[in-house]
Amino acid sequence: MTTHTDLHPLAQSYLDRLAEAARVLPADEATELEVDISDHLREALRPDADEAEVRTVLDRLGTPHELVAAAGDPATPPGDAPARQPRFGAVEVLALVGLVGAELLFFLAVPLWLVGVALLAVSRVWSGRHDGLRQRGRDLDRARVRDRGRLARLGVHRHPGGVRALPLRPGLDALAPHPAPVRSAATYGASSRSARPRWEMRSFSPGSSSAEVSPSSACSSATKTTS
Amino acid sequence: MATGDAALTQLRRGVLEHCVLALLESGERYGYDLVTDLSDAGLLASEGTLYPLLSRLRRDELVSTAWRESPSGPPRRYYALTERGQSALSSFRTAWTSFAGSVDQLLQRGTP
Repeated sequence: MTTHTDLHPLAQSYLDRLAEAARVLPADEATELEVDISDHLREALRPDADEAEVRTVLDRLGTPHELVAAAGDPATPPGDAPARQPRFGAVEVLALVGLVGAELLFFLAVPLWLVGVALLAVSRVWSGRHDGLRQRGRDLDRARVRDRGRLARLGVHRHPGGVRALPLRPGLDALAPHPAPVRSAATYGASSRSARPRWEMRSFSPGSSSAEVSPSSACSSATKTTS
Repeated sequence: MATGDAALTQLRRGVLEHCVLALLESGERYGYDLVTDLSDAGLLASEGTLYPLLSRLRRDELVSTAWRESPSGPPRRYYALTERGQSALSSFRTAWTSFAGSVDQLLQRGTP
C-alpha cells in the first residue's frame, strides 16, 4: 500500500511533499492521508504513465497543502491553506507548558494523596476523641455510659447537688488485685474532665443547683422546669 | 464569474458529504471509484480532498471501512454506509428537496 518504489518520480516527490505537509496533523490522520493518496496514485497511474499523464493526475489531486488543510479543518477552503500554515508560537508554548505542568502535578497528586490517606489512617491525633466534633460527641456519650457504670459499681448515684461516693460493695473491691480506691466526687471529676461538663449540663436543671434533692425528685423537678 | 465560482465551491462543499453517502447507498465502493464518479459529476475541485472527508465520515461513524483484495494491484479500502449514515442521508434528502425547491422558485421569480 505504501511502497513507493514503482511510482513515477514526480508522484513520489508529491508523496514526499505531502508527508512533509502532513506533519501538522495528528500522526494517525497523517498516515491515513498518505496511504489514501498513495493508493489513489497507484490506481490512477498506469505503470508506464508518462510525465504529462502524471502531471494531470497530480493537478487533479490538488496540492499537498490543500489536502492537509482539508484534513485539518473541514470548514477551511482549500485555497486558504498556505495562509493557514500553523506556526509554533507563544500560544503553543503556553499550551505545552500548561499541559505538561498539569500532567506532572497530576502524577504527583496521586501518590501524595495516597500518602496523605495512609498517614491519616495511622494518625493518633485524628483517630481518637479529637477527630472532629462528631467523634467528640460520640466520645462524650461513651464516657458518660462508662462513668455511669463505674459510678454504679462504686455505689455513686447521680445527684443534682453533685456525686456522692457510697461504697456499697466493699467486699468486691477488696478481692480485686489492686484494690480500687474509693473515689470521691472531686477525684472522679478531676480524672474525667471531658465528661464532666456534659454530666453537669445533663443532671443540673437551672436554678436547682443548690438544692439537695433525691434522684426521683430531681427528675421530676427537671421535667417541671423544662416543661 | 469569480463570484459564481466561489458560490459553486461553497455549494460543493455543502453537499459533497451527502453525495458520498448517496453513492454508497447502492453498495460499498472503494476510494478511487468514488473519486472518479464525483469528479465526473463536477463535484470535486481537488480530487485528493475527498480522502480526508472519507476519513471524517468514518470517524463520525457514517461509513465503515474494510480492506479488500483487488483483482489488480494492491488491496483497496472499501467504504460502506452505516445505519447512522443511512439516516443522515434520509434527513438530507428531505431537507435538500425542500431547499432546492425554494431556491428554484426564487430564481424563477427573478426571470422576466
